[in-house]
This record gives sequence, structure tokens and C-alpha cells, in this order.
Amino acid sequence: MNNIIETHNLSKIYNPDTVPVNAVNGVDLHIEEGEFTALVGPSGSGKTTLLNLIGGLDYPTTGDVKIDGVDITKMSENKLIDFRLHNIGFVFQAYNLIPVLTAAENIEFVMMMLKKTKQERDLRVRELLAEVGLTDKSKNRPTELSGGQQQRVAVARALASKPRFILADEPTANLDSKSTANLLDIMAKLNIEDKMTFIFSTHDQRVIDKARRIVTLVDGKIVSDTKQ
Amino acid sequence: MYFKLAWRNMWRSRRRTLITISSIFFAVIFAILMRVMVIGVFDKMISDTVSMSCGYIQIHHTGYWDNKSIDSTFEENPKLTTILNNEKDISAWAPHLESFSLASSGEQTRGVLLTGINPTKENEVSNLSKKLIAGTYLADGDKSILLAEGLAHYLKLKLSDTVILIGQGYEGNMAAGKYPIKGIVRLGVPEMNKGMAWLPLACCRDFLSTGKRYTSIAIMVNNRNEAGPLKDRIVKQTTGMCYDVMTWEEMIPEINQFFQLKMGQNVIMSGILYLVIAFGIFGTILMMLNERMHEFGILIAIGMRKGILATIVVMEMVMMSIVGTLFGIIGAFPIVLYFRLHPIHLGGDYAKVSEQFNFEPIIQPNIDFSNFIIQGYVVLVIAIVLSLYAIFKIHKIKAIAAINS
Ligand SMILES: Nc1ncnc2c1ncn2[C@@H]1O[C@H](COP(=O)(O)OP(=O)(O)OP(=O)(O)O)[C@@H](O)[C@H]1O
Ligand SMILES: [Mg+2]
Repeated sequence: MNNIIETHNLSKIYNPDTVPVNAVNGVDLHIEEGEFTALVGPSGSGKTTLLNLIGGLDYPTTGDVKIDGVDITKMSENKLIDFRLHNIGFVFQAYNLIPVLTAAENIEFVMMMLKKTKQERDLRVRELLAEVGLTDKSKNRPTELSGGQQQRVAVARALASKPRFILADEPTANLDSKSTANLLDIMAKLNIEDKMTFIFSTHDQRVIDKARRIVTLVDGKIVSDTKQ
Repeated sequence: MYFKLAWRNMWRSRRRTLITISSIFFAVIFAILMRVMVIGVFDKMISDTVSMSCGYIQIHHTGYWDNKSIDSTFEENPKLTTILNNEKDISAWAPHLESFSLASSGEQTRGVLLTGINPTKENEVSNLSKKLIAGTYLADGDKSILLAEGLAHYLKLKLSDTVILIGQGYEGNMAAGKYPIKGIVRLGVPEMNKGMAWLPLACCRDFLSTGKRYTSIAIMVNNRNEAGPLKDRIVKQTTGMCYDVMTWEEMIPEINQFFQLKMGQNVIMSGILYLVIAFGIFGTILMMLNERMHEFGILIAIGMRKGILATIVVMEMVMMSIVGTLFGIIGAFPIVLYFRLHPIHLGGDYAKVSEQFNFEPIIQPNIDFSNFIIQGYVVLVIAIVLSLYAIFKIHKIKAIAAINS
């Protein structure tokens, strides 16, 4: 199969000169197109750090991250920003959206940066809002949306650039169980219908149950990698 | 969209934005008022002085300025008249035949600056007839004299009394004459009010035996800033004609120096005012950067170039400054206009000071629009310079750290 993401001997050491912390320690991880992977492990096991390295938000201490065969750890900061825009979707734990823009504008905005025409943008915004079930909230600002609705807009925004994969660091941590289930259903649907690749970290057993591959980290090392 | 983003961000913290805008608003108003008042005072001082003496530009015989001898005069010249009449920037010009003479009433004697004038042209230059407080204005053929009020008072002379003039005429001739007083004028400049007298040109020429000669031509301009370039043009057109052309700045440098000094002080005062604005704007920038760190982190993470982000933030600051400045300019305008139409007449100490510097104690603001525009530029430049800090900060942002803040 086709590996979208490959990490080789990936390590990140924080504070190497004072109190070194091996947040990620020699990780070799391969993610194939269309996977729906949960990254789990105790607090401080390195989930966030690993996602940041894969997403090109941080540079590793050693090792590399290849996305479609391209080593992103060698890219300059500005190149990485453009690379992220074109190839990676992000959903963060909370407050993902720009507060002064409406739901629709938050999504459209990404396509503005990609220099899409007004027509293309409008069409895709409508499509994406429908996919996350928020057509009627297009003109609402983030403060007028529930936490779950905000996260759904964030997923729609992450999809706007038609990325290669979406990284989500504890996307449901701030949600109640109903919103959690709803968000997971939408992500699963996008994964199955559109073959969108997702990697998300979580502590929530109900979320882990929905994943089809579970990678467990402890002290920065992969201790198990199972498919279900 | 970027503009929309900046505009909405600006109104995100409504109260802070309003405070910033109103601090800019008031500072701009004060800065404009200070500036137009100072310039207005000098406009008055300069125009009072030059209109009654040398004009903004004066043409005289080569060497006359350094040695004001009646022998250093020049003859009427139709070519020169044509040049002057063809210059659009000249609002009026008038020939002068000036000489220091002694004026006597028999009892009292005093040195005066006697000027032979073309009554019509002189009036266009100095509005002399408007300054009459008694009698009537001169006409071409008159053999009578106008005295300044202070001089008449000193000589204890009234209207229709006769004044005796004694002086030195052309090429060593003795000059002496008796002239009835046709009018008395009051001059705003106290020094002048004490020692000036006017005769019609022909009569003055007879008195000084000069024939058809002038000592100088005084030229007025629409805007005193045009004096320099106009002088250059006149010099070019009169080369080889034995004339010197001088501007008011060259003839009365004290006024210009004083003006520059006052403007310097004005700049310092405005500078302090703008420093206050600068701190206000800077505070706003700091708070804004702090509050929005998380959002900036997200934006950079999802692929917004830092340059675009910085542009949006700078746009916000610049828009805020433009709004404040615009309202400031609009707000200052009616105030300035009011004082333009109703000049402030000052008494007391200020009047004494103004007497020393030879002008009427009136404050009438200058309404040149450039004064308003300059303040706008200054505020804009401040906002842009301070925004550099925001640009610098944004370029140092690390996405993850910002998201976690
Ligand atoms: N910026 C940093 N500087 C220093 N140490 C850090 C930094 N970020 C994370 N760490 C440390 O690295 C280790 C891994 O942290 P990380 O946030 O990746 O864990 P995590 O699995 O995401 O934890 P959680 O489940 O609590 O989110 C932890 O020991 C943490 O204290
Ligand atoms: Mg984490």
C-alpha cells in the first residue's frame, strides 16, 4: 500500500542542555492512505509532540518525517508554512476558529490563502458545511456555536484545502459525549466516503473504540500498534 | 477578506479601539490648533511688516540695500513694468521713492521715513487707505502728505496743519518743502506708526529732485512660499539691468529667524503630544498581540504566512490611526475656521510683546490645508513605525508555543 507518512528513528528531546526530556524517542511510524488512526497513551507520553513533528509544526532532534516521500524536516520555516497549507489539515483541542469570522468565512479563508476563485470557494464552503451538518450555521460566529459545532467547523476548515491527511490533537477533549460521538461519526464518514486519512490523539475510550488502528505511546516510544 | 479581517479585528475590543482613536483624535486637534495659531501669528507679523515696507520681494538698484542713498535710484523702465505685469504669482506691486528726512512742526522735529507712492498701486500693496483714521487718502496730483498717527501725535499736528520736511535730495541737492496734512493713518506695527509719512510720487520726486526715478519696487505675492521661486524668475528676466532682487527673508532675516525658532518650539510641543499618542498606540499593540497569540499560532499552523498576518495587524493599526486622524482633522476644521473669522484680539502682556516684534496683537490662524495634512502624515508614520514592533513580534512567533499560550 501507499505510505503517506513515514517517520524514521524520530526523536525529540526538550531542554537538551538542562533537564533533557525524551518526549519522542526513536519512533518509526508508517501511515497509509485512508487510515483512521488513534494515538493513545498516558499523559506526557509524547502524543502531542509526535503529532507536531508529523505536522511540521516543530523540528525533531534526530530522524526524519517523510510525507509522500518528501522529508519535511529539512524545509525552511516559510516553506513548511506553505507545505502545511497545501497538504495538512489541523484540528486543535479548542478555540480553533478566528472569532471575528463566521463559520463560512473561517472555511473560505483557507481557500483565499490558496488563491481559489470566489466561485470555487462558495461552492466548496457550502459542500463542507453540509458534510459537517452545519449548513444553517454558516453565518454564525464561533461564539454563537457550541463547542461541538466549533470543532465540526474546524474539521470542515481542515478539509478545505483538500489536504493529504488531517491531524487532530484531542479534538474531543472539551466536548460532551453526544458531541464527541457526533464529531467522530463525521470524521469516520469522511474517512470512509472520501478516503480522508485521519490521525488523532485521545484519552477517550469511546473515541479509541471508533479507530481502526491504535498506536500506543509510552515515554515517547511505540509500545503497541494494532488494527481492529 | 484580509481587509475584512482587519476591520473586524479592529472592532473586536471596541472600548480599547475607541480609546485609542479618541486619543489620536484629541492629539491631532491640539497639534493642528497649535500649529495654525503659531503660523497665523507669523503670517500676520510678516504681512504687516512687509506690506508697509519692503514687500515680500523688492527690486532696487544694485547696491541700494547696503547703502540706502537717494543717488542709488533707478529710472522708470517699461520693460520691468511689463515683466511684473506678466507674472501671475504677483498679487500687487508698487513703486517706492524712499528717503529719510526730518519732519518738523516748528516746535518738534523727528526723523521720518518718507515714501513717495503711487496712491492707487500702493493701496493694492498695503491697503493704506483702510488705515486712515482722519482725513482722506492721497490722489496722484496732490501736494499734500499722509502722516502716521504716532508721528502726528509727536509733532502735535492735526489734519490740515502744515508739516515741514527737510532732507537731502538727488545728487546732493538740498530738499525742503511744506505740505498740508491730508490724512492720518494708524499702523498696527508700533515702530512704523511712530515714523512714517507718504507723499504722492510726483510730489516726492519734486521734493527730492530725482526726476522719474524710484528707489525700489515692492512686490506682494499670493502665498509667501512663492516668494523664493518668483524672485529667481525675476532675476533671470532682469539680468544685465542693474537691479538687485531680494526676498523678505533676506531683507528682514530677524523675522524669519524668530519664525523658525517658534516653529522649532512648536515641533517640540507637538512631539511631546505625539509621544503620548505613540505610547497609547504602542499599548494597544502590546495588548492586542498578547490577547491574540493563540489565534496567531493557529493561523500560522494552518498555513498563513507570517507576512500576511503582519500585514493584517499593520492594517488594523493604520486604519485606527486614519480614523482618529480623519476625525481629528474634521473636528479641528470648524474650530480653526471660527478663529479665522473671529480672530483673537489680545491685550496686556502679549500686546507688549507683540509690540516689540512689530505686529498687531491679533491671533488669526493660518488655514492652509497643508497644516492639517501634515499632522495626518505624522500620526500615520507613528502608527506604521510602531507596527514594525508587531511585525517583528509576529516573525518570532513559534506556532506551537503560541497555540499553547
Ligand atoms: N515545550 C516543551 N518543553 C519541555 N518539555 C516539554 C514541552 N512540551 C512537552 N514537553 C514534555 O514532553 C513530554 C511529552 O509531552 P506531550 O505534550 O507530547 O505529551 P502528551 O502525550 O501529548 O500528553 P497529554 O496526554 O497530557 O497531552 C512530557 O514529559 C512533557 O512534559
Ligand atoms: Mg497532548
